[in-house]
Amino acid sequence: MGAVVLRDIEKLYGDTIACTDINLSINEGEFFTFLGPSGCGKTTILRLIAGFVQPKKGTIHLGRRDITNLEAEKRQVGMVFQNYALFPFMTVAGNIEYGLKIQKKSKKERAERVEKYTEMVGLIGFEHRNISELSGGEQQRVALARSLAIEPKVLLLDEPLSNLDARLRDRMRSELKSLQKKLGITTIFVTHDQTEALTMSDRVAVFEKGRCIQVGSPEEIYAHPINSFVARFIGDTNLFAADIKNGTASLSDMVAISLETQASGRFISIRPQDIVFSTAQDDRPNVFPAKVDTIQFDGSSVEYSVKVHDISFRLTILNTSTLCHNITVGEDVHIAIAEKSIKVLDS
Amino acid sequence: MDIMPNHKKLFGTLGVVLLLWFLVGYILYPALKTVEVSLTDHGTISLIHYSRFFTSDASIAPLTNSIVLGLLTVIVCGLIGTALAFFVHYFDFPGKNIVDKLLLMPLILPGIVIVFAFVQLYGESGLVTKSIEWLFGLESKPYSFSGLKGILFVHAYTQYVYFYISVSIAIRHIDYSVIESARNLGAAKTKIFTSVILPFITPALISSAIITFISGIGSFTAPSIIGGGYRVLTTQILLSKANNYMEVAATQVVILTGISLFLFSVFRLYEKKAVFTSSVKGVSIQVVTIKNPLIRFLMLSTAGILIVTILLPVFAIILLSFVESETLMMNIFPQEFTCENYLDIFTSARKFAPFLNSIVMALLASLLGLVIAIPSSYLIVKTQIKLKWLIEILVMLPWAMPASAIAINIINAYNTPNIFSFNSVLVGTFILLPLGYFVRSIPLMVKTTSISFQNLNETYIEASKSLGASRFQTFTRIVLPMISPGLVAGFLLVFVRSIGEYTLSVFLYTPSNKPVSIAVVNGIFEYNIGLAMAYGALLILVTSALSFLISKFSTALSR
Repeated sequence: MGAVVLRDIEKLYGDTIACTDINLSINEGEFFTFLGPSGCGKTTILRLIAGFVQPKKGTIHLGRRDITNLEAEKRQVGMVFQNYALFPFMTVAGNIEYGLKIQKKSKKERAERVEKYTEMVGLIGFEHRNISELSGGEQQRVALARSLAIEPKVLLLDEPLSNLDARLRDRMRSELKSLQKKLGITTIFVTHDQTEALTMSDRVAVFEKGRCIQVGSPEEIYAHPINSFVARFIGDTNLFAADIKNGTASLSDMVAISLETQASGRFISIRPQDIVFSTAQDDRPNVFPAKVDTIQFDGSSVEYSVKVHDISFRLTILNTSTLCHNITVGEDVHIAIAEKSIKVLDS
Repeated sequence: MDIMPNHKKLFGTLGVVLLLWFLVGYILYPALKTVEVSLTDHGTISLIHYSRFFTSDASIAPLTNSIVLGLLTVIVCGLIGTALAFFVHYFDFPGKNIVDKLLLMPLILPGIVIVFAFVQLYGESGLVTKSIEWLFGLESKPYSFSGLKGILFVHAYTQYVYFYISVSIAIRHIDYSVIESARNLGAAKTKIFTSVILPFITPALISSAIITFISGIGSFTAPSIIGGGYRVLTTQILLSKANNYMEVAATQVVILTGISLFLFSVFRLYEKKAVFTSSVKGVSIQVVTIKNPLIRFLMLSTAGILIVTILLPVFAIILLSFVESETLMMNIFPQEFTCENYLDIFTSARKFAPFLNSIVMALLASLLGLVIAIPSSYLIVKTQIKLKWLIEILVMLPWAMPASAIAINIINAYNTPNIFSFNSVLVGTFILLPLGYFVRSIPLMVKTTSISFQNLNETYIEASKSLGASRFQTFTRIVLPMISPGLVAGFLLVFVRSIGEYTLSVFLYTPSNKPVSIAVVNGIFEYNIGLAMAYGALLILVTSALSFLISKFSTALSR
């Protein structure tokens, strides 16, 4: 039995399907991510779990308890909102204390918990500040402390990092993850950012158009995307529609790639880091002469776009100290694609 | 909310029906009643009042005068307000913030008090007039402060504020990087003004011009006190009413309201279309610091003169409130000072009554305003009910109604019993005046309370629920604290606008509810200037104190 179990959930807004056919089981203590583009239904499901909206059909269980029709305020589910929703007329401590006052905790206990969670999110000394005096990152910490202070059974995070700048987002990512590990709290995290999903999650559910299309660990999803949408959405990829038969994928009249399997499908996906530069002498399969189109240097890696006849491939080469390719735009090169790294996809 | 029990739905519908019943009954029905009266002659439907109006020179002249007054008010106030906005927000000089605050003062001063302050300063025996005569040894008065010139002078002081506020906002929204890029593209200073700055402030200019015109043709206080032979529609309406030609008054009201309503619709359409704010991430405009000492000196002097000009009327009222009225008749400049006038007001029940009446009536108007504005703005901002558009139109309609029109409408609607007044005649009763104050201020009040509801993001309520708070706890601990600054600000705003109100008061007061503004006028006409000014000073004291509170609550609102 999972900590949160969604069975056959469907939710409509008017005639529009927000999500349908949702079956998920989230384990105790798991960091579980809903990943997908905006409008895919991931936030709706989060709001269903929080109890802000009710499903048209299906059930939601929290542990053994059916909470489908339970009011939001009785669910003991903590939530961090995208815009934090901190009460602007209260101080930092006032916000954190709010849920505890509702729970009618004693003054002493409230003070202890406020201190505990203020410290946990690194905001000691900020207790009496007004919300308007805080930076985005600090507000985020208050929102987190506020929802943790009531010691909820499940923590829901609705794109909490999307309003932070890039550097801070990186830091909060690891802080959030280690905090979750330390507390062991079941956490559901909603994001459209694949990096966040891959770096933080124990498991990821990928959503598209109101449906959950794949669930798995980040490694599984990255290595074995179920379709072209997942392949494109998770990580960077070279995706081609191809004519696939007898272990060969024809990308065009001129370019055919040999495959490891005899599987059939309509697309092939090749990660840019699975293509390498080679030489004419290389006698492995899938070595092609190519011409360098563009080169993009981004510090830790270099991205090349090369043309094999009429087909463009993107390659990512890690920028190690031994990198001495000295490749220039317009140069004639050879590329090699490992057979086992090619994924054949049905849709 | 997804699930709403049936009994709650029923209560909701009942509430909406009650609200609409009230809005229709006290805003729309009176206006329609006036239209009906204007189309009635001796009990039959007739256009005779309109044909008489448009064929008689005697009634066309006030209409033309009103329009001329409106246009001239727009020009004078446009020039003054825009110039002041640029002066304060484009340049840097010491005392800038004080000047900015002071320039908003005419908003809170009761019109009738300003008019008399002007009379005491610039009138025939005014302090400034006499000082000039004395300084230059003139035999006769140097200028005449009556008629169109006088009205315009008062309007210039009281009505530049619309231009000042909206142009100031526009200037602060000018994206400085656009100016920089224009300079980078080689535009000269004049070119920058015409091609960048002017387009930025044009929407502000056009909308202020419309609002100023509406308030100019609706102005009653200045024309009635210092207009002299310059007759305008609003004063003619009172004359018709006083002579009991209610059908003529109704016709004049319909024509005046028609013009206002037309322009107001244009304004609303324009407001919806025009883009008032620029790019979100723009750099705000940088104030220009003048280095040339001569220009600096000139600017400082201008700022000084501005402060003096704005404060002079207030100063005059306070000064004269401490003067014994008899001594003022004999001396040009006050010689002896006394607290007698104030003691009079606070010791004589008869003299205190108008002040008390105004406080009570302003309170009633504000309370009624709250009761109506809270559900109205809630329905407008937070719900998607079908009749939302109707509520919005009804609460905004009084924007387009001059006070004299509101008064005539109320008289026409409530001089006979009807279902909206629970089958009683309201004309001649105490409640009529608070009702009028309420109608006049409801648009402003709804605007203020709407901001509260706009700030009240749904996620605050959800956050509170997710932390375990019940509906009731969420309402008392989150919703109420969040909307109350706006509600309090709206309440005080109506109070401030009502306590010294003059136009509606003239039309609707009875011996039982004589307000302080009427007491001021009576005081003046009984040559009891000291007493009148003491009333005025008390009014200024109350309105300034409350306005200070309003600004506090408004800051809390924008936090």
